[in-house]
Amino acid sequence: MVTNNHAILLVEDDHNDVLLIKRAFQKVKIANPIIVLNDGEQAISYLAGREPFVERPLPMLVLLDLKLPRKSGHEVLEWLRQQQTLKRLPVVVLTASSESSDINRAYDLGANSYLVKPVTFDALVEMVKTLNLYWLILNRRAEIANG
Amino acid sequence: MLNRNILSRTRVEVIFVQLQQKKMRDEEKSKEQLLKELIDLRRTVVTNDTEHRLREEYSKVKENEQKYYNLFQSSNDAIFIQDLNGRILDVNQKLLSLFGYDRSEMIAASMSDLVSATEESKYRSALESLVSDGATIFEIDLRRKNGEPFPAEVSASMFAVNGEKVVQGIVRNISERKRAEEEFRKYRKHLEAFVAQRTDQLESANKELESFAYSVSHDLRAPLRAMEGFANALLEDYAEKLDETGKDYARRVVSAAQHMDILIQDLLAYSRLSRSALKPNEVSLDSVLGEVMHQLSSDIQKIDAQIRVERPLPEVMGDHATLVQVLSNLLSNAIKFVEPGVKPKVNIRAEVVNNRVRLWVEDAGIGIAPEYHDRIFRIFERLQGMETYPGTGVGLAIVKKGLERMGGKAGVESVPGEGSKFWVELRMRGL
Ligand SMILES: Nc1ncnc2c1ncn2[C@@H]1O[C@H](COP(=O)(O)OP(=O)(O)O)[C@@H](O)[C@H]1O
Ligand SMILES: [Mg+2]
Repeated sequence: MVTNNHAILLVEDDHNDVLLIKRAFQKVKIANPIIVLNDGEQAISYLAGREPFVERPLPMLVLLDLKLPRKSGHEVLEWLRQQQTLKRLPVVVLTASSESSDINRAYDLGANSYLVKPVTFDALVEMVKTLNLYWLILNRRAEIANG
Repeated sequence: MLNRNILSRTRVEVIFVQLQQKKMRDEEKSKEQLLKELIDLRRTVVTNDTEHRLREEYSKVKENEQKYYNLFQSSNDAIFIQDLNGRILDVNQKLLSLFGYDRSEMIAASMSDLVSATEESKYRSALESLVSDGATIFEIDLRRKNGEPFPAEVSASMFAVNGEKVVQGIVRNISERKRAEEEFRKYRKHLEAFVAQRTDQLESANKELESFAYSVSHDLRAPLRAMEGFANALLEDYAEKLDETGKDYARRVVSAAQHMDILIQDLLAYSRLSRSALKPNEVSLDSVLGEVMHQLSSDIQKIDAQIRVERPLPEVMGDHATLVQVLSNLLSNAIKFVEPGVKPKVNIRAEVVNNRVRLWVEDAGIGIAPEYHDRIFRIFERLQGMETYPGTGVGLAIVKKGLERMGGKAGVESVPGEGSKFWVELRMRGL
């Protein structure tokens, strides 16, 4: 199990959004690898190290959409925060919803941050820049043993 | 000439009747007293009367007696007189027709004939309370001769005749009232059910609207991101392969997507305002304005707008988030609607009139013709083309709805070419 990894786990079902987010990461010149998963169930399997993700590297940050097939982002978050040390993993919710019920629930379940996907690409680039600076450079990471 | 026999009979009768009346009037008098009175009366009669006087008095008494009896008989109320054992002594015509018995049947009837079986104990306890209190009113189910029950109200009082206590009761058929009460009860139940059903419907409509707003914010914006993002990617990654027209088209895709996004956000904000309940509390206009200035700071800097605020602004009763939305719309309008190339100048001040705070947002912009002063507060109403002044026409509708929800008002004073003065009015803090 690789623990001190630099990967970013992007849980996102919209392929357009995946492309645009990846493009924004390129623009900001972020070198960290991006692992993409398309539904909540896969995200849980991945983080738990179940088949077919037994050899998975643990990410340093999870970018989590809320409206996902099979298991919602809220459910993924809820599950994650119940795990032994895996619960220390920082999770940034990145979603289209700005409904206060969604925001409140995400924080109740232990989200570290909540970002609303901007419509304009320029705004997305700005957001990714800040995200990189804060979560990937400034922020100190906790120790995470194998969950 | 009068027959002596008749005269003497008449005398005795007069004495008897007068005595009866005395007895009725004064039931507590003892027999000795009555005897004394009898002697006195006879003396008076023997010594003073003349034939003429006696005849007159007799007929008067007869007349009186008849008058009272007629009153009793023809009363619109059904009246009975009974002793404390429940035996009926006398009844009037109305009571007979109420029960459907004739007089002799009625006098012979026992209590179980007249009172529904289940109500007998109720009647007895009413009689008991009558004995202790002297009068009582109670409701009871009675029974006609044909067995048909009817609800009645009995008001009974007790008095004594010849030292013996009797009950006088007035019986009212209250079927009509009971029916009305029942009708009323049914109606109320129906109304309650109706209200509950409507509330349910409204609640589910509200829920539907909420989930609709949710999917609007989620699902409608996703394709917009794609349109905007990939048109942008075209412009950047394929710039050499596109001629000016091609680039122009791509730019139009970008700006249309951006416009639609703003429109969706404005509509969401507007619909949220319509459905969420606002609880007014104390809000500092200074802090609201601080937040708004922060929100608009990049726009303000870009166009180098001059904004003067006459601080301190007072505190009002309102909802903070709604006031931020309201002021943000007013201020962004104030810096938007200026002649091209002119630097916007805005003045913000408050005045207190009759315990209400009026906040003014005054600009030196293009102004608004008076015939449009009401109209611009309606949703989607705009006065300029999208090319010159972009917008959605939702801003002032948010202002108006927001103020309505907070129990306030909004309006504008303006002359074309001389700027506009928009105002919002709210209750002062603590009032
Ligand atoms: N400060 C102002 N000066 C001149 N016209 C204004 C001003 N504010 C609003 N208006 C007029 O009222 C219309 C409606 O305003 P609003 O509802 O905020 O929509 P939008 O700003 O999106 O056009 C505007 O399109 C404009 O014609
Ligand atoms: Mg506006």
